Amino acid sequence: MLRTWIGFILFMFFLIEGTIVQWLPLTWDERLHVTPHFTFILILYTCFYVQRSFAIILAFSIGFFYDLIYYNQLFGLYAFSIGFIVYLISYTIKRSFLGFFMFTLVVMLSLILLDSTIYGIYYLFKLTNESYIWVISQQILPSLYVNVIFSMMIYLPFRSFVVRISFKQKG
Amino acid sequence: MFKLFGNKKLFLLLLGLIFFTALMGISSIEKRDNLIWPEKFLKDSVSWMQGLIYRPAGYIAGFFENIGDLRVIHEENKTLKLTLSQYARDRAKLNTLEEENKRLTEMLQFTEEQKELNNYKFHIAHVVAVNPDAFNDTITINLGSKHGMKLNMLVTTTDGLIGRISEVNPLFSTVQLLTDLNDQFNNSIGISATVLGSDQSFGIIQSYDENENVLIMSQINQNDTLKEGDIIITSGLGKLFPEGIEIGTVLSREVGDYGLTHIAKIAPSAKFDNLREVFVVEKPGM
Repeated sequence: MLRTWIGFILFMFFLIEGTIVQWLPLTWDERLHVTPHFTFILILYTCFYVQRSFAIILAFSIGFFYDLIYYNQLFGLYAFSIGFIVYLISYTIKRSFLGFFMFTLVVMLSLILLDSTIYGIYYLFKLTNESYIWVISQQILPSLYVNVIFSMMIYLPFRSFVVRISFKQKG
Repeated sequence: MFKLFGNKKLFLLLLGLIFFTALMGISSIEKRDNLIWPEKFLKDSVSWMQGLIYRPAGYIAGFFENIGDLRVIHEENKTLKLTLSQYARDRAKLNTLEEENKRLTEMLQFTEEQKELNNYKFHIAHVVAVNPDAFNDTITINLGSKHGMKLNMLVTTTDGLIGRISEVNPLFSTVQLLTDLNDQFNNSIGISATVLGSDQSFGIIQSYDENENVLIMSQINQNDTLKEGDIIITSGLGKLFPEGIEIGTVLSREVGDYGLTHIAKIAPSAKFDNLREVFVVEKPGM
């Protein structure tokens, strides 16, 4: 039940990501590029507050979904980067419970890792020729700012949602 | 050490790494024009759902934008009236020229195909989604092969050219924006361009400079008359793209990398954000 709900919510946020880049006045400078990583953040939530193995499966499947829908020159780029970062993060940070502050730090770390990995792979395949410094200032930091705000906003709703659903299942 | 490097997991991890590197490597070399049908079906259905979210969001954002615009409307109205009078004058001129053109083509015994050559059709399309990826500027529009869309058709807004169709599905297609152009990548196609009012000029719009937000037009002849402030349009040479579609205005001109040809920086006329309605230009006989 909980898994179905999480899958559904992820799909909804996947759809929203295709819209929000254009319509929220997120950018104060035209050159900045904000990449929404809402599904990725939700997968991290699933990983730490629901079930680790389920989150890893989700990460790979959502990644493949990205690759199918937005065919980004490289097939498997998103499946690789989202999947492996969720895998790495979930196996290196071994805490049974993360508080709000620690969790936000983990989200920040993984967002920077994700954006850097994506850039790194594009750079490796010579599909971009921007310098890393430029990408950090123009893309990674603005995206981090927006995504962390999103992550903080859904912390309470998500936790209470999980608690409510699992409570219903038991009783 | 971490459990991460347990024997079995390490093996799986390495296997995964090899698999994904191979997958990405193969897909980067091979350029696919035809998708298989499950892919098309999946894309079309997801695009349809994205459209359900994108369009209302656009209307809401547009509404707030309109409120913000109220102040400038008076000013805008004045200039619009001015341009309208010019437009009426141009229209009269156009009518006589069209008549004359028709008469001349009759006299020269143009074939039916040649007559139709410049009779472009504009299809209106709605944007349903924007690619969130930072290194790929593409949008999805709600016209596909069922509506007669084909690869490499140009897409414009009312201001000017914004891109070309890079992938066609039955009901939706993907548009690669001009901001994604780069002469070093094999997925971007240069667009031949010329100056409005002087057919002799020639150059190719090949890449986009993300630092300065300008298009780079290269391979301009040293003796070319192209200068600052000129309006750049597509030239239609090469027969791949239609001609006469506005691209932008020249900001500056300088000597190119090897000193043989010149390059020009061009400020695009169209804006690439907050896109809602776009036009696909259909060239007859394409």
